[in-house]
Amino acid sequence: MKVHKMGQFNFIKHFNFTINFGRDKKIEVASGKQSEGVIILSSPLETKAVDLSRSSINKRTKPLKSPKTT
Amino acid sequence: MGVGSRVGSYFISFNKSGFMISSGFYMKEKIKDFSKIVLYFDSEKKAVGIEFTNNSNAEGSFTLIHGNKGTTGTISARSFVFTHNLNIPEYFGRKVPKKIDFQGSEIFVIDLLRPEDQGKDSNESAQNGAV
Repeated sequence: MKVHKMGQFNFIKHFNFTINFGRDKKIEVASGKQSEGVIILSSPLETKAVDLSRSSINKRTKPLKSPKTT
Repeated sequence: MGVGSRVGSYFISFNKSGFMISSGFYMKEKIKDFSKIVLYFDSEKKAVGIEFTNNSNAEGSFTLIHGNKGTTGTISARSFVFTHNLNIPEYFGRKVPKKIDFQGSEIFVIDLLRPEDQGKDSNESAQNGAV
């Protein structure tokens, strides 16, 4: 973990990620990488795997209702 | 700024959703010129470093949202708050940032352990001088 020494402070950078859950069950990371099933979030700080079969995440990957057509 | 215009206090407010930039800080530091921020955290001192940038591809950066009137800004940084366990009311409130230089760029540091500040009034000196 890289420490940024700034004056009297020892700062660690916080990395912000955004994951978009698409209707096609594909997910997208802010970096632009796309994947299905398992996605690997990697940064200089850590690497984290997100399993999409987890129920809490699965709910969010369900396709949205199709808009009604008249 | 026209005659009689008033600029608000100089502070950054911290809450569980992220940061709010006061009009005094926004105007004085010309925050309207920036679009992104990078956050740093010192877990020992409970200090937050804020670097304003225009690099839209800055790795791990947060988006700076400008107010409609162009005098304030907000940063939604819930991931920062919850990752570092900062969702504690004692840390919340107005903090007067200190500016430090780091490799040619300016970092604004706020101390979460410091009690709530009322903020420095940007017009304080001007008003004292007024008749």
